[in-house]
Amino acid sequence: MGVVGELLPVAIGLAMLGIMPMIAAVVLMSSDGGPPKAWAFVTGYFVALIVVTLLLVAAGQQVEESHSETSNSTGESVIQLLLGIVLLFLSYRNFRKRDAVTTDDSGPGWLKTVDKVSVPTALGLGFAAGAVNPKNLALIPGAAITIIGAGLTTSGVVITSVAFALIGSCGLAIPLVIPLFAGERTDAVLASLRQWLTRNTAVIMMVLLFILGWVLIGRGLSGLAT
Amino acid sequence: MGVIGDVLPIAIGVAISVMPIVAAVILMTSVGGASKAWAFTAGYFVSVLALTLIIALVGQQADSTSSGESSSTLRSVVQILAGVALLFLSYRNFRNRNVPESDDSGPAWLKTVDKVSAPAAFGLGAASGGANPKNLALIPGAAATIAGTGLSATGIIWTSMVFALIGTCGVAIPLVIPLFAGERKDEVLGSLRRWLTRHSPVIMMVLLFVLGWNLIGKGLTGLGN
Repeated sequence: MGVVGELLPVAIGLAMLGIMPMIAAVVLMSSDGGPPKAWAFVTGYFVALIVVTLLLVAAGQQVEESHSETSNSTGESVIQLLLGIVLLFLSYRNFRKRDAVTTDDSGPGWLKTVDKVSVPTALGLGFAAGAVNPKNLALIPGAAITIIGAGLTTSGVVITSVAFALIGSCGLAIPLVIPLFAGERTDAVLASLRQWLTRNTAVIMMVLLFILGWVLIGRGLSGLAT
Repeated sequence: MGVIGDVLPIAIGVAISVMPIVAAVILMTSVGGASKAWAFTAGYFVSVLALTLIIALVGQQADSTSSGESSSTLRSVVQILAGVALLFLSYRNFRNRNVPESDDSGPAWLKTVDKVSAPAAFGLGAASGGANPKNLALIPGAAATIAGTGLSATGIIWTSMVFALIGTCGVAIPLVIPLFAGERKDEVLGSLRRWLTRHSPVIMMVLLFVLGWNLIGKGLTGLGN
């Protein structure tokens, strides 16, 4: 439970950072015969998070075995510091385009055709959206470092990684459960969610990346000091 | 330095206070307002510092009188409760998410803020820093961390000063804009004000949501050990 507590902010950040994938899930949900595709998409994303986390943990443990204790923890702190700086830079990029997104409600090009894909393609797209994403790739290593540092058994590592990936996919899963709450108003709710998310993507990303960047920098600094 | 790292995310959370930043912008753009803006910022700094110091020193006293284990459990519970309070504040901002788009002017006290005197600006700054639900939920967590590190009284004062300085960075942004923007400063301040007011609910919603989970995570980690 202690490790999951430490991972929480990063996992929540991951869940909120996936705005574009979340919009894709909304688009899939509102297309004809879309819910299975949306589920496939979210499953792909979830699996990608598990795979990336486990790969990084495995790689980190290899390195750990071949090095001494102190140089490791310094290395981990430096990595966290650097990742924090990367997140701040990504935040600044979103700040630069803060007004551009407001004028265009449609989002990137691939979003417009996402509802035309088959179920297996949706699965693959979800996997790609989870694994090939600079923000995820900047956040997940920090989580992997925390998991490695907890000194868990193999099954503990797997369970923790699955819990991490589950929380990290929460945002994406919101569109899937909207029909349960909204009933007949589902389409209206999905449409207004899509519009609101698209309009506010830059601001949400900017604030999120800014705070998460400082969270990682703070962890790196306290790691270096002890 | 280790403690600063621990409280850094909270300090950044204290720094991002959209409405107080807007108030500082308004003061900067009013006639003879720069000195009032400085007074406002000083008030913000002093109130954050005072709150942090008081809670940290009280917490240290409590730590030394009770056993280590029960005080760390208490600290974790307080962190979880503060985290839940932040999530609630986040939800309130989510409910308001579409309101300010139609009205770019912000709350009523903002409209008259440029009419105040410098001492009143100091008082308003102190109220914005210390009587702010977000800061009231955030500062105890930071103060508890500072108290828990076993620093001397001087160390607590220095750490609290650094914490309050970082926490004041946000309201201090408008003060330094003239240095960078020169003649375009009124234009920059105006567009900053409009942008902040329009996006205030989204900014606060995201900020409070992440910081809320950050505190809950810390509390759970503390209870799990």
